Amino acid sequence: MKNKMRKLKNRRGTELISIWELFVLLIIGGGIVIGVWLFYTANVDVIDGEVSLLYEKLALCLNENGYLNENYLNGSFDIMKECELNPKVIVKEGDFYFETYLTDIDANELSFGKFKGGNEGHGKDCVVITDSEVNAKNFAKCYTGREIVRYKIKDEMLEGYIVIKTASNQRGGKIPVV
Amino acid sequence: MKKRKYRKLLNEKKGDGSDTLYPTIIRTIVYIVFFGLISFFVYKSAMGALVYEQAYAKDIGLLLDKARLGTTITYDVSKGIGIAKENEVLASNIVHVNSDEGYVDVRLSSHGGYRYYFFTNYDVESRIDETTKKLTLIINEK
Repeated sequence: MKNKMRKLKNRRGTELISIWELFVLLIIGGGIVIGVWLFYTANVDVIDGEVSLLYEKLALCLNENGYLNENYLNGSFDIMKECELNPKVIVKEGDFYFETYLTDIDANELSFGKFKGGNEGHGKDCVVITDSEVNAKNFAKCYTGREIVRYKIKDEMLEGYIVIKTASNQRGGKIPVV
Repeated sequence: MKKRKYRKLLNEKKGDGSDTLYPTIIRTIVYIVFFGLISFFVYKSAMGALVYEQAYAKDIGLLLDKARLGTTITYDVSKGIGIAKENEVLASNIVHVNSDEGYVDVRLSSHGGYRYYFFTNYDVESRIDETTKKLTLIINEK
């Protein structure tokens, strides 16, 4: 039977390398190039660390050695200023969200002392993720924790929790050529 | 008659020998070039600006998120300086921290760079020492 496979031949007609061999090499090479390219251009996910850092930042400023920040229950408490958060990043960029509220010792939320900032959409994402336990790829990542604190209401020292919820969906990004 | 047969045999042998050796050499060269190119591509990708820009920007962003007032951070950027030099970028232009807008820009090539935001509201002073190849970040009050 006549072999119809195309082959690269030298002047004497000897086969050097077959088209199929070249094809296999190209497939292997292409696979390696695509794999390496995907690996090195992949986004490094540091959001888990970031939400923990935001929690830590808020906890350190609201929980002062077991006592609630003395200004927290004042009507004029500016959480951004007190906790040294940049409003331009938290509010304008829309990649972050935080929420803090007070509870009594039985974990019942109090009607006062609630603060939130940033993109509320991320807060809703967190509720969806927590309730449904789904893994949504492009949703914000969330962290919720609480700190036991003592606080004073009408000269009465009470004990309860300051609950802190944080979320971030910051992916970072390429900046254009200057 | 015998002479003709002998000559034919001699020619065939000669041809067969080079036909076996020549394609093998060509094939070996093609494979060496092919895998050499692939290895070069993998090396360039691993040592490329894209990887280090993102790593530095996120690292510095998280360091600033974690930092307290009055802290001085020293961060090794020797690999970044090497890549930037290859791409003709000045060491002083590698890291730019904008404290007002709250972001870090890292540029290791002339093809853009990488930006990452940090949420702390501090005044950050940054400078790179080319001799020690270290970045110094000083956290001051705004």
